[in-house]
Amino acid sequence: MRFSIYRFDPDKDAQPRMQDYDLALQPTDRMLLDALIRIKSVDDSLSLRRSCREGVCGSDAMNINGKNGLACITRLSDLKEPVELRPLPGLPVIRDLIVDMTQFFKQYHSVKPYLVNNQPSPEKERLQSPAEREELDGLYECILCACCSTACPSFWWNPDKFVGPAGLLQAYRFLADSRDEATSERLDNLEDPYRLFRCHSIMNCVDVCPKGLNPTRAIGKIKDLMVKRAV
Amino acid sequence: MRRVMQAHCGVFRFPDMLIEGVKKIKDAAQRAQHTEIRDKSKVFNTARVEALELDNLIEVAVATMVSAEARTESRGAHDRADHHQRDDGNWLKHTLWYKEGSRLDYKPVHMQPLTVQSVEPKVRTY
Repeated sequence: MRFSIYRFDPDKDAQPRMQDYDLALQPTDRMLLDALIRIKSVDDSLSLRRSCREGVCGSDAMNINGKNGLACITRLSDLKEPVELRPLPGLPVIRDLIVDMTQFFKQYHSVKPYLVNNQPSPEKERLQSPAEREELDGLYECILCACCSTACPSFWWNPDKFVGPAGLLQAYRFLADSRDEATSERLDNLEDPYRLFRCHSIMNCVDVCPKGLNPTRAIGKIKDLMVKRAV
Repeated sequence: MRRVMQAHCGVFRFPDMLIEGVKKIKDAAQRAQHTEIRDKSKVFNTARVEALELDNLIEVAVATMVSAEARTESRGAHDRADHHQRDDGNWLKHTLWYKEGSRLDYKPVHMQPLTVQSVEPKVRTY
């Protein structure tokens, strides 16, 4: 199977380049990550991040034939040859398929992605009805792979000012949590022309999310909350 | 290493496989001494990380293999076809592996927890 992979070693290369590989796959190689590991046994200078190999850690997020996704759950049989692999778009490239996630995480941390509740801790858990818990479905499952934010044109143009789909999904995850008490502060935190409102419902995020989540819908709900309290 | 451990040291273990496994994993450990990485980069060198991980993995693999071969009872995920029962009389002890001299040693199990009630070892039946 033929691959064309983005290569860049800041120690050696002045410019990035695409390198072609053609390798014989075994019948046991089902996912793109299997192929990449096989390529690495031939050319061990190809660098990539990977960990769980089952689509839950988000380490091996990359741009596959033009679309962001996780290598470990992308079937080789679904891919058109030559398979073009590039690092996630928009983020600084450290080496080959490895990008600097600092900007992405900075935006994530900026929404205070933890429960804020100053009531004294109860004996056991802070209780929540099944209906209240259901509000968190489709939000808590985010693996922070960055496929969504790096697919968002608004994030490309303003990664330092626009929080991005991943960060905003988590912002809503806490806004929607019945146990959280900082709703007002969380919304204040997004009251800015850039933080939330650069989202124009482009919906690339929904298209690429490997976990099937919908940041656009969550962002819409945040916008609803902001309108309601302004009225 | 993966193949040897999977075949010779899975959950269900057999005496002849364990003996052969010890020999094979020690061979693999010898080969691992001559690991070569072609990537010499100083930036995010995943080949170097994988080589270092191999060093650690092979050492744990040898320790696991030798300890399993030595334990003549079944306990938890160590199920031996020739010694199917748990043998608390002889084997209620922790295995210690020392790289220097490649030697095994044992230490007793701590039977008295500090803050909770002690639970007597019982035959496991479901």
